[in-house]
Amino acid sequence: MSGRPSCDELRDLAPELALGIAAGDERARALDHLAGCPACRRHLEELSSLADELLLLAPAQEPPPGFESRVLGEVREPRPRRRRPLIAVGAAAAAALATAAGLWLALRDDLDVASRYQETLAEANGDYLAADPLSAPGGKRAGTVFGYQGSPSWVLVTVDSSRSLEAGRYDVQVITEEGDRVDLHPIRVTRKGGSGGESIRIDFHEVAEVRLLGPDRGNVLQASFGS
Amino acid sequence: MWSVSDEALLAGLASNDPEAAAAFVRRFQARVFGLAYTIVGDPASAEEIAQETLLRAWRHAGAYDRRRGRVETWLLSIARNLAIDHLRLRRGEPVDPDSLATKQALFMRAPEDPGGDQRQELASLREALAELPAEQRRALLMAALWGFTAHEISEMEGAPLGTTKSRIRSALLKLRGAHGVADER
Repeated sequence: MSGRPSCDELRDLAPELALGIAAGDERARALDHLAGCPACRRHLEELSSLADELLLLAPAQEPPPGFESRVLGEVREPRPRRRRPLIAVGAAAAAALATAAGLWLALRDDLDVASRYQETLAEANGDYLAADPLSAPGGKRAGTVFGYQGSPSWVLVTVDSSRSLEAGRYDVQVITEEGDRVDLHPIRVTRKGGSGGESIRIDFHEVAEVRLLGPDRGNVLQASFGS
Repeated sequence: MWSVSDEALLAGLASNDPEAAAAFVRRFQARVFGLAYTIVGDPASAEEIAQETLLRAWRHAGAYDRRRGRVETWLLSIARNLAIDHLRLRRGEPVDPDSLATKQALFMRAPEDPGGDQRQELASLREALAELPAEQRRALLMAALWGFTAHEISEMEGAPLGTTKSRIRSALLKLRGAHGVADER
């Protein structure tokens, strides 16, 4: 299929979209159509709600003893969040702290960086920029995922050159902290590496993971941003 | 506390009310764990997934929008997505068709205690699912529960891609026709 899909094409694809198994490029094309077609949107919503209802048929089963108290323990004392702004303290506050501690000289370079970082973010009213390693199975570093929290938020993925990585088309998926999946445009990876990026329709702070699925869904690379 | 609606419990959870949090976990833990276990088939991973599901519900309770579905389906779709992610990371490992068939059979088994109107509604959906041709039902459940793509299902079933896509489509459209739109919102 090329160009904007027709209603018939969309209806053909709607079950796979509703079940969350359509490929990234199909999903992107469908979104294009859905944006301007309320009838197809309603059709897809109906099928999606039916797909959700199917989950209710799974047999309920009590979890192992102690489950409830473990969950409630986490709710009462949440784990510290690993990430957030690269620079948590503003340049002015950092300067005040540094002066008080007599560390001004030692921190001057850091403060310059902090200041430039703030100016960069201020340019488009961004909140923060984050980066995390992209890991191949076994924990080996395979590249980097950059994320920007702003309006719009965006994600940029770079894959390092590697002889062990299978070349081909990699689907790029963003997984939110709620477990929802947002498909981005696939990227092409060769032995020399690959990269791709785009704005995302959710806030970057909702992103828990960015995942690349290699040809035939083997070779999963991932970067974690969540808690 | 047990007579309180799901939405009210969720609102309590969002406001960090410890009693609401405990009631929320008690109310949904068996459904969430049951679905995770159905999908991943190992209790330790299912427990991790169930725990993460309830914690995400707690973190995002304030953002829940009832127009997007009932609390229960919202929670279960979080659990499903987490379970599929868990499986995807192991997707290199071969899938045992027998174990998938056993899981599907367990999934199709009617609960001993249907309990209440909502379960009646589910009984009709289960019936409609049972009446589907076996190959359509298999394709649908492989997609809906395990997140297999049409391409993956066609390889596992040894059927052409076009046939597989049309099985998935027919199955979902037949369920829609038989069951009606399950939840008019």
